[in-house]
Amino acid sequence: MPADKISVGAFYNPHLAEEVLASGNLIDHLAMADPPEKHDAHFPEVQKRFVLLLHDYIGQLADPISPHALERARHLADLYRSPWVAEHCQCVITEDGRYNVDYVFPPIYTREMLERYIANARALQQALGRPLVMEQIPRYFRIDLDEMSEGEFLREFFRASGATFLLDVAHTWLEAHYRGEDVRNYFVELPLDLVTELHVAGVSEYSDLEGPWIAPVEPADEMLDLAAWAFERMPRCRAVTFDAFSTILKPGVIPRTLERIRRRLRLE
Amino acid sequence: MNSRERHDVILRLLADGPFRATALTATGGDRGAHRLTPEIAAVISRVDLPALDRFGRFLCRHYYRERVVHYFKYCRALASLTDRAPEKTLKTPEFTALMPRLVLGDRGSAELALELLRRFLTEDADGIRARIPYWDDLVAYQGAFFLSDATPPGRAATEFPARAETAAILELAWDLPAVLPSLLRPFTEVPLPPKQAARLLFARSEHGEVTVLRCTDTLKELLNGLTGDVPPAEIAARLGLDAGALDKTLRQLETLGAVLARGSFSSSHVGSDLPQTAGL
Repeated sequence: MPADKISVGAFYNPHLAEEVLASGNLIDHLAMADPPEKHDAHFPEVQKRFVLLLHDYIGQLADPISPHALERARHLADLYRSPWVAEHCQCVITEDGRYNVDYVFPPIYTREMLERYIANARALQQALGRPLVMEQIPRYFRIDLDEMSEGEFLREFFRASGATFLLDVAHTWLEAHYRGEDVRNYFVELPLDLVTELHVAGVSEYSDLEGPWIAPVEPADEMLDLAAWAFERMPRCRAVTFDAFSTILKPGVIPRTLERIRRRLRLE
Repeated sequence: MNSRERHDVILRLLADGPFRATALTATGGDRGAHRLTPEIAAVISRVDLPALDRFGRFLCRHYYRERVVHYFKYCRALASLTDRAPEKTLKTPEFTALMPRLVLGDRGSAELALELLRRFLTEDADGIRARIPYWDDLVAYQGAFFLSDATPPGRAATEFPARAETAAILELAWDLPAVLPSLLRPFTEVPLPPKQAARLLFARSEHGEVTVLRCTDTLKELLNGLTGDVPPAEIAARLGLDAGALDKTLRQLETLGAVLARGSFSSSHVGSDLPQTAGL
């Protein structure tokens, strides 16, 4: 990852590998949500051409990461030569392993949960020998069990664990939307000064939710404006990533979106 | 109840349709199918339950869509010929009606979802069979994969090796593995596998990896003999196998999950045949 410029990238979608490889200098890095498939003929070239970032696929920081998961993460981080590793601020599996929502879902923001995240993040960074960035996850429905705000939880987590912030603009927009708060006011409650990586993504309407939610689609202009506004307040940001990872992603979406991001954030 | 336990109640409400239905009826004044403890009721009273229910339904559809897309990829590749993209099942009123009965990851729930998928793909499908004569085998193959992904039911420990409940043997009329890769590549004529019977073993590992391998007569006999109450030496003698080689094979089957199985979804692949350690 170059120290003298902001890296711009996307998620690696194997079905779009040819397009990614033909994208010239548009893409600096690729975030890897899944390990490469054994039969992915493009991966060796992808590995050679791009900085790769291990994203997710480690384990939930609410609980100690198992030796099996640690070994898997170590192997992938080495394979990618990932400058940092990313995990979500989520808790999706019950402690007894019986229930798993198999999707992103944030923890309740309590002192006890915070202590768990800090201890497990410290252990993870020590085991991997790489910095950790943690991405915040929006909440769709009201839960009155918090002891602190999301911003307070995140700031205290980063201070105590040494990890830094992966901020997702669409997640922030959704969190503010479902809280009924002004999105820019909500942004400034988050530790923008600790952001290492910025995710830009789109949202779509879902009938089950009767409203918008995370989707592998192009960000609207409003979302890009918000990203640009937030980006100006992130003095330590080193990478901007278009967050879209899905087999339904069509050719053309990644190059077009990265061009828009570069233009709007003045990263041409 | 500590924070982690309270959070787990929310996770269960999201993942467990019947539990969520109980919470919804209990807060509506009725007593649900299961009595809620005061601690659980206290957590439920602190969440926006109608919104949680909507999110639970969203998660349910998402969960099964991920698996249908992953495991029914060959049917998806043929959708332009069949007009039956398997994920369409998840948008039917039948699936919507089923959702309150589904528990994410649960094998019984996977069976219910699979039954809908099977009906959607194979009912009134003579036109499809005329063009793709191995269509029923293909649906059965992917269905076995889909089912193997689900968390196995808990099982009491046995004294001797036992066949895992998730170790499924599938008898096919067509030798499907030979044709599967070509279904994912562009083709002008529908690829045809050899018309010869094939028997496959589906195994789910401790870490949730699903492996498919060819199953010989001896391997089938071995697995059927692994009841948990027969010593391996006796099985070896019965099958005329070398005891040491059988032991090695049993350990390999354990690693694949055909003998031991627990864990959660992570990935899957079609594996090669089992090493011929015991002449199986």
